[in-house]
Amino acid sequence: MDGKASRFRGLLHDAARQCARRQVVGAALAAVSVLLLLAAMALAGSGYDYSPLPRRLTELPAPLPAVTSAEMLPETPAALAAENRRLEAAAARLAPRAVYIVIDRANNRLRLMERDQVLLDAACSAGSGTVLNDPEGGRRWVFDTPRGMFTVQTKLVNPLWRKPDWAFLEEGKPVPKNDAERFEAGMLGEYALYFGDGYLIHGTLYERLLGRNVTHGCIRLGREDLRTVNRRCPVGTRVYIY
Amino acid sequence: MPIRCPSALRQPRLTGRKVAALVACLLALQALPAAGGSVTGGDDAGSVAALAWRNEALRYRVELAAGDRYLLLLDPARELLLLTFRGAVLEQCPVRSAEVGQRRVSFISTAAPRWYGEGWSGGVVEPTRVFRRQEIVAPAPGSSEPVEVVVPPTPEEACPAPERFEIRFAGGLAVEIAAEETGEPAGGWRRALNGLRWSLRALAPRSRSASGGLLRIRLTIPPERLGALYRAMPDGVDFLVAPEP
Repeated sequence: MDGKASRFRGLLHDAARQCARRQVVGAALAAVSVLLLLAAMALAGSGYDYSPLPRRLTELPAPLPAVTSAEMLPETPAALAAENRRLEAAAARLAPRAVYIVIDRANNRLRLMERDQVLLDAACSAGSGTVLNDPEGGRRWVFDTPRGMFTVQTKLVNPLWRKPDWAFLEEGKPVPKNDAERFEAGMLGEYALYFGDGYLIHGTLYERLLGRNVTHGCIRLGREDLRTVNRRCPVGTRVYIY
Repeated sequence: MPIRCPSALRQPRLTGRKVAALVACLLALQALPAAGGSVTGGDDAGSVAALAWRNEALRYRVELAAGDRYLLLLDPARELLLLTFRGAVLEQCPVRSAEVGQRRVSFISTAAPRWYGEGWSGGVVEPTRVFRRQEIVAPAPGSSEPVEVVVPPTPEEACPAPERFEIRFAGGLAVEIAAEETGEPAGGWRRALNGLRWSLRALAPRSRSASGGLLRIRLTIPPERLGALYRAMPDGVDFLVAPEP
């Protein structure tokens, strides 16, 4: 009889314990759910509030705050207008006034531009970025087209290519001691425009490779585009490379 | 009794003094625009402030054009995105839509920094572009080994265009550039997933840590221009929303 009673008490005790555990688990689940819901709500309410970008300053929803910077003095309308004219003139002086050349190395495009009008948009080939190591001489060349602003310094017709050391090494040939052996005709096309540091805009025998980064740093152009560039760009033309 | 015409009673008489005063007024009115330049109404505080901001933006452009820094210029008035260097336009791209977004965390909008007329520097392009540099060793002179000629990939193959990219600037601005929707029905799920991925990326802690990430300018451009712009964007580019001239 006692055994039955104690077993019954044990069962009751177990049931109570299980019930308590379930309650704890339930409460924990509810708390997690609430937290998840709150997190989801917070996430849903996070991000960016977008509005159309106004085309003019005067279309801004909030009024423009007064300029407090010391640089902005004097603040009278006449002085500001005069400053505006001075700055506009300074900006105009820095911009190229004549035709200029733009070279996009990443996309292998050469553009001929005047102010912000595109006169010519041509496929070209810029530097490959390859590194050539000469283990014997301990020399190293990086075939990049430089970035920056340059000017056309010299223009050549039917230029001869004076092959540099790397051109021989690349082909596994010995570098000639006689300088006359370095010259090669026809490799650079009809024209070459020299823009400094050993770099040229020139023609190519391999027009099928235009649009790819294949050169040793120079800019290669197709025959017709090279003729246009040569005709439109006098010595002194600015060359912008990016 | 003579009848006088009522209109004759109201007819003003132009005396010499009145004429002189009128001329003086006209001269003064004519002189006003010359003194104020593009400011209409010298007392208009809004116009004065706008001119001051224009000057600040111009000063920034001149400063950059005098150095070796690339500037990405958003011209909302002309709906153009221009890449400039030393005052020269290198590339210009039409902008189909432009939006400015202010950060909101848990329904609370944060105070966004000013974006108009403000110069932003140190632009970092994401996703990162990977340019692999090939390294070769010159064969020994007289070597019988044939020189391997490899045709390099096109720029599109070497660095494919993402569906959108962004440029993060120091100080809390991100400029997101996406291709304009062409309205093609295919790829709806892909677009939705991509949108979700970008939303989550915008929420990522790094976007609001050092740079703040308080402000986003979202631009759409023609799809055929996106890849070229992504590949060509110089590292460390500056950004400016140009107030209209």
